[in-house]
Amino acid sequence: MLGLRFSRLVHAAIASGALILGACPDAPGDTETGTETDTDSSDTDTTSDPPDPTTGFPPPPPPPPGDITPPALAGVTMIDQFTLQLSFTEAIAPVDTVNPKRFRLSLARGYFGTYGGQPGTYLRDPRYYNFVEYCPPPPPGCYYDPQPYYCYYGGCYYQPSPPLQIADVFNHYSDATQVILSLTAPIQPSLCDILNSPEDPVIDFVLHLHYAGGGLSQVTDLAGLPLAPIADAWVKNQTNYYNYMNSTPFSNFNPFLPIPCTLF
Amino acid sequence: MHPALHPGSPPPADDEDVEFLLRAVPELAFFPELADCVGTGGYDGPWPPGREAFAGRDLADLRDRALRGLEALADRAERERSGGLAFIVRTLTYFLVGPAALPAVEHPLLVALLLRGAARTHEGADTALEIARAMDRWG
Repeated sequence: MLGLRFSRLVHAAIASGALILGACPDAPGDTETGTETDTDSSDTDTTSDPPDPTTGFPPPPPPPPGDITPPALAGVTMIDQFTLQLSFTEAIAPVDTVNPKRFRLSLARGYFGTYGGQPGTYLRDPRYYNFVEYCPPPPPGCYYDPQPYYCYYGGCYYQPSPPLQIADVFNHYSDATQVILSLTAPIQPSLCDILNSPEDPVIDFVLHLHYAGGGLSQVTDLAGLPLAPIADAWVKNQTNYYNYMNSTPFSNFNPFLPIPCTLF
Repeated sequence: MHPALHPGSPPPADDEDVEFLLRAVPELAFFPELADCVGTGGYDGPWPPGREAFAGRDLADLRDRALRGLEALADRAERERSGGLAFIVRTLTYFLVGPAALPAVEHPLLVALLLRGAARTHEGADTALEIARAMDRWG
């Protein structure tokens, strides 16, 4: 049988070392050459970019005298699999009209250039690391002799979750310095495994929140002073990949606020 | 799409993962990078054809085109950070050219592409599921 014969050949090649299992897609020394303005032009998501949520609006009104300090994000924590809590340096105005698409999560990989190549920060869509188990029914018509090889999926497997986006934005019910973000899909243990893997001096993975400011209906303090953008290229590009090359890892994030996973 | 071929899929970690990946060949044959490898005509017998229908044919051109398609798929695997796709492409290439090259009628991807070409004259046969069934009956 074709499938079984080929399977034996492949396993023999692996055993002999002629074939290796690991694809090493993110190995140190990755030679991607993108820049801040050079994202993957062949990305499959670029054909229908959503409108930039920050354009087309007049500038916000000037803040009233007295408060001249804009709000800043001080930290992001996971409350549960569907919820993030944002802590600000001061009270935040109602966020009812803030477009959730101003926020976006990335799985950011910092490479320090230890093994050659350029140091940089590589942003990836976190759904591709947020695996959910799926147990499909076997395809119809695959029950025959000899036992099928190709016409068979067998058991359960893990696949990327639905898009891990911000679904809604709320003010905290009792603490005005806190804002709640709900997610469109739950955070899975596989994503936390990456975040909680032993510290590596060469590569580091963090989950990070990005924010695009500007225009009306942005996040402001009670005086109307806006929250500054946070590495907003990731929000505005809406691609699956984005790289900051030739820079110290995470130095383009201001502030740099990794979201720790304490759920699992 | 077969889950092992998704963007971001991890490379196989053990024999079980490898088995799972090898079963993705029928779906791989439908990737656009391999569209030029699907022939037209050349078989007008009953569905599904067996290996004897293609025995003795010169399939060097198919092998060349499949190699180019696999090179394009390797680029896709890198672009999409798909460890599963990268592994299956590397494996199929290893057995396509070089000292480990298999006869065309023994190479799963070439067989899948031959079957896709043959399926064009059989309504409803040019699907991943039908190609999978035909590969199981290939012999």
